[in-house]
Amino acid sequence: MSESLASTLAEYTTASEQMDYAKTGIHARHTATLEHVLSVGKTFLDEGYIFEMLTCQDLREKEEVMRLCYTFNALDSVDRHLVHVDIAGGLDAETFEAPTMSKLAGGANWQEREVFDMYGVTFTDHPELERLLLPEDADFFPLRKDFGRIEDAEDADE
Amino acid sequence: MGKVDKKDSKRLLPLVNRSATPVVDPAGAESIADPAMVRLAMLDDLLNMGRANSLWPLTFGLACCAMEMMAAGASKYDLDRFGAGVFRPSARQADVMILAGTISRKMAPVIRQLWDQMPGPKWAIAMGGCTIDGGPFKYPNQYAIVEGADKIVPVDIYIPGCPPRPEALIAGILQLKEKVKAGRNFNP
Repeated sequence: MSESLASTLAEYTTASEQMDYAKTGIHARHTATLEHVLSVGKTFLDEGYIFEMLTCQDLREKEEVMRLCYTFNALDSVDRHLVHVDIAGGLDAETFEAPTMSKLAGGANWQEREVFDMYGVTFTDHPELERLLLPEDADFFPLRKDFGRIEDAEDADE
Repeated sequence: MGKVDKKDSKRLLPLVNRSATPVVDPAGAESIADPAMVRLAMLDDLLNMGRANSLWPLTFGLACCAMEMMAAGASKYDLDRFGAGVFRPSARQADVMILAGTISRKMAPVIRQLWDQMPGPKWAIAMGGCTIDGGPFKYPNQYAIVEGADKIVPVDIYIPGCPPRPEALIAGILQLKEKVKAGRNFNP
């Protein structure tokens, strides 16, 4: 990571820590707020990094957040950065909103649609926020932790 | 494959000669290999015989079962021996639909459309556990697959297995052949 990238990132992130690449597969992990997520993305893209992946974690029960996980990587020298962005909201929250990164990186388009498909996070100003993998008329978000839970189910025999 | 040597050609000779003698299959119907075969029957029976011996499947696979279907169509198992190897790229030309693989809910309307595009008489084969009742993907509150091909199209033959071997698919097609010969058809 170059010094210019580190200093710019420090402006937009609330926390950064170096990681053990051999163990975790990433070089550094950052935490950013929702309002700065596009600035973080633009910083990485301007430095020649690529938008690698976007996924989500449902932490509504434990931490009352929906966590977006952006991954940026450099192709010439592998340097993978993970950016955590928390959207506040517990189990009773109706909607989760985040700004779209598809205007900066085209690859984010389908990744954001998939996160919408599976977790119900809506990305504002997304060009085509529709169901990607599930049928168009689906009215559920299957990767949320409370989806499809059977309350009185017994565990399988061990 | 090596060259055919003299020993092999000798071994093949009795097989060639045997084809001239009448062959009777377990169902009791005379095979078309019988040179002295005479059929005195209604026109429908004649048409059904023609249909049974030229089942044209639609070219499409849904999941891993399609690999076994391709193997059945290729040279080792050779579906052409039964007249069923002419996989048609258009639903308008096909008369049997082999549902080979998991049917996701998103794919279901597409399959139904293909089925509606096929002209009658037409038949459907459900190949593998997924198309029988959902197979390994069936559990309470699942959201992704259709539990059984018969929820979309009327199925004539079910072939169990995960996936079924090519021999099993061939056995299913031979069963379907008997059904067609007998004139049984949900979709005339």
